[in-house]
Amino acid sequence: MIPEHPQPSSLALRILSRMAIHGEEYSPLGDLEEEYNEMAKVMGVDRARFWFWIQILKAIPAFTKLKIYWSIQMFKNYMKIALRNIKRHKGYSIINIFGLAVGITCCILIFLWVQDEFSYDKFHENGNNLYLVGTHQRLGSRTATSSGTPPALGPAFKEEYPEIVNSVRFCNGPHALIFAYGEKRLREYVEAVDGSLFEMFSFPLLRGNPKTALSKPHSLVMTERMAQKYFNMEDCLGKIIRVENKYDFEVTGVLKNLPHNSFLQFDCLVPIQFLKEHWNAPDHLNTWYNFSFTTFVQLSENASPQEVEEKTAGRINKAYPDDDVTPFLRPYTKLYLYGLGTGGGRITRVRMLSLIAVFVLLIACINFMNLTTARAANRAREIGMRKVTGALRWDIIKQFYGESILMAFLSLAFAVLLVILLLPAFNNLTGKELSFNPSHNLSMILGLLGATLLTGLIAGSYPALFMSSFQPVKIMRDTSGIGSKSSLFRKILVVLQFSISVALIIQTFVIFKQLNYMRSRDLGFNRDHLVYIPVNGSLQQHYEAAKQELQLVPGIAQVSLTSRTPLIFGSSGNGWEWEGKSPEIDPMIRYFCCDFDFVQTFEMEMVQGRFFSKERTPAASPQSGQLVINEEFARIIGSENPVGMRLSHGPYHGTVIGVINDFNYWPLYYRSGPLIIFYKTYNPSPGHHFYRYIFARIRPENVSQTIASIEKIYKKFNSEFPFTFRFLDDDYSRLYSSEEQAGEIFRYFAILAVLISCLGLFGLASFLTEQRTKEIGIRKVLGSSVQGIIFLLSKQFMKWVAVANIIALPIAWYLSYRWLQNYPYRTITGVWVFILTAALTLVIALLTVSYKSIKAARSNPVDSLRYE
Amino acid sequence: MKHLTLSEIIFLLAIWRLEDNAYGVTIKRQVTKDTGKTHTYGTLYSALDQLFKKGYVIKSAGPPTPERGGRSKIFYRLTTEGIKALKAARELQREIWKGIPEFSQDEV
Repeated sequence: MIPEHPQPSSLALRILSRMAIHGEEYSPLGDLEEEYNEMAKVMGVDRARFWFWIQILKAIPAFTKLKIYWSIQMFKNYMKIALRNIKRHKGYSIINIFGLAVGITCCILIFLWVQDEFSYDKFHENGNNLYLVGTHQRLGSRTATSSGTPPALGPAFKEEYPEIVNSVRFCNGPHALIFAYGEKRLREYVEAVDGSLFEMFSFPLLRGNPKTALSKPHSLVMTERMAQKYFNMEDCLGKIIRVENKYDFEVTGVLKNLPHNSFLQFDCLVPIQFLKEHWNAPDHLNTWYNFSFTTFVQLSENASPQEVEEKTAGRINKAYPDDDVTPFLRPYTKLYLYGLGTGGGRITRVRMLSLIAVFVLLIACINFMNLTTARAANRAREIGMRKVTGALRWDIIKQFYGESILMAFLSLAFAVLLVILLLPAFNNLTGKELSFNPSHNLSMILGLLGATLLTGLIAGSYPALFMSSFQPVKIMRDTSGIGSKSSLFRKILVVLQFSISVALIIQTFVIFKQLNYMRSRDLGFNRDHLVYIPVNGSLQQHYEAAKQELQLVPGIAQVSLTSRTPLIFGSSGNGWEWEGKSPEIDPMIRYFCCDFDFVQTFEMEMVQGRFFSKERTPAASPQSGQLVINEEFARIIGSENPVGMRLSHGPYHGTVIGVINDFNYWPLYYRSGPLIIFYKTYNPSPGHHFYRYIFARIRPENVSQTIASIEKIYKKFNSEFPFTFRFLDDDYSRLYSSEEQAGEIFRYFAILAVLISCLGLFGLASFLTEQRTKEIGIRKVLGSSVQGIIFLLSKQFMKWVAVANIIALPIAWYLSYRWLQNYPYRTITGVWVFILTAALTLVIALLTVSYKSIKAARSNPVDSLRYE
Repeated sequence: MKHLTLSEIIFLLAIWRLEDNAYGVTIKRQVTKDTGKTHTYGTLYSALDQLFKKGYVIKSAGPPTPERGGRSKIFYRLTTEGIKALKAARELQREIWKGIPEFSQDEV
């Protein structure tokens, strides 16, 4: 029995009505059902059903086309409305787009920087198998970690352990030497290395044979840049170049210029074998006790560094049992960013900046969301209108999402423009050569597009999801309550934004405070008006005569010869013995050599005893000598009066004749520990000296004349070398450039963060004030004063900023405390930093909102109440 | 005025022939009868839509009918624009075929 009106399958009907534009589907649906009914009567229900399905399948392409057509029409309408909205509220739109664009710009710039940092040392073919051999030295309860290894270690490791396929040694020492060819006389940075360097590292040779380039002791491999400088790129192989006016080197290879993102940097290479001649010590390269070489090893493809570490753990102690030294492996590719793994390193800064980038972007996004949500309330009527004319909820959702995404992408486009404009300045600030090339940074582009889309989506969520659910009737009747519903959300956003700004401001203050502290800390000597020149060339034979002549220059107060400047790492050693020494401790002692006038020249003071003097200090001998120690060492010895004590080191016995005040003989990044000052030399061979610098304390008057006199004397004793001189305080001011840079960068970003936050606050304030126009009008009519209204309007914003300060201050305190822990000599954060920051943010916020509040408070109530 | 396409002519003529009874099902049947080709409702309605947009036809809804699941028929009727366009098309056909004799069997 066939029912009177058999129904076609309901699934089929549903598919059909989904495909058709709503409202349009009635006609074709009706047609189909009519035909279906006729067929069902004539040929049976099954045939008719089959036919019905076929019809639907056939109809799909045409309906799809129709659907796309209408989508495009609606999309055009949405775009038009969006653009009209942007145009109509120019102020908001500019604040909104510009704010987000600045945030994105920051993010791109920092990302480029971070990417460059991470690109270091990625170009070596064997990169993943290259390791630095570092050493842990146990000193009593403490462990000192360094990159220093003895020279015999590299070859021994390669020979004795099958996992280690290759090794290369670098000699640490004075590297900038004078090179002369023809008329040219310049200082170049040279490294003494094993020839295996070319097998392990991917530093390709443009000319010369990498296998033999460093096989002769007097061969020299230079970079393209250096070859250009000396030989103008003519064929330089086989040319002879003179070094330090003492040695002749034959150029045997030209290196391709080192990439800027290489941890190892040098101008030229000489074979390590050359050092035998240079030091006049044929066996020196086979010793196990001089930890002044850097060794890199290459492990075989599948060797595990942990296993190799375990195997090699006792190797140094076996050959040199005097010390407790354990070698360890550190991946070469990690050296640049992570250092030796003892904390610190550039990675801290990379992390810090990345964090800032995220924060600034977050602030900008919050702004964007805040303004978008605030403004959406104004569009309640539009939503109502659309719903009345037949828009579904889904249409409204699409529209608002689309609009906020459009704004976000406008910001992105703007940001890209800003990046291109700002990149040169940013490169200047960071000292890098970054370039913005979207095709090379595909991952970044995708990330940015993603982030932009996400910002747009989150910002659009409030109007899209919340407001689309309103009943049109309600919206049309009364719009006042709509904005206030989201006010809690908005408050939280503003508080969060200002918290981040406060934290950034405090961190900036702390960095500058630490910088200032390091610059102005009493170093234990007077660093002003100290000029120094290197003792090199033939000056090494005539330093005494040169000193005497310098002392006669009227502009010079004192002259002293020293082994190093307070900013250059010197030698050190442990194994010193003294009476009453506890076997638990074996401190690493730094060495310093100078002549009689050191204390006067550096304006230091003797805490106990006396300093070396012409009358009472005999020439050094291999067995004995006089020593001056610093207060720190005196504390370690633990004796009330160390003067007269004997300190011994192997066969050598020294007598302490005085204790000098603790002075910072290292950059303030490092704690200046125990120190021994020797007269002239710590090397027990007679006639030897360790003078590398002549320091002169000059009088502040006629400095240029004094320098000219120094140059004349220098030239007289060493005509072969170019005259170079430095002011010690110049060195100091250059020393903290990394903190300065961090401070600069922080300052910029803190300013940016505050700026963006204020933009947001301004937008929000003007919006909220506008919403209360009528309220203000009525209040004024009822007798409220202008001040009263300004107070009323500004109060809530001040409250938010105050809350932000309360939240951010403890966090910022903790972060700055952690940061300062990196420095052995550190400033204290100080309460005033917090008070100042709180006051600053409150004042800035007040200024930002007061413009709008004053304007609103002073408006004539007639204007605001006229429209009803 | 733009010339009508052949399919436009076919649809318009079908609607014209059907007079007061031109709605989806009948138009489809009429076209099938005239040309021997079947249309789906998809192509049918997009063609009708085009004609409507160009102003050759007008739409009007009839009363709901039970055999259509309670839905109304949408009736189509030619406008004067449509009739003018048909006439012009016929003139054009005549012009362009002028002087061409009947094709003989073996010429095809």
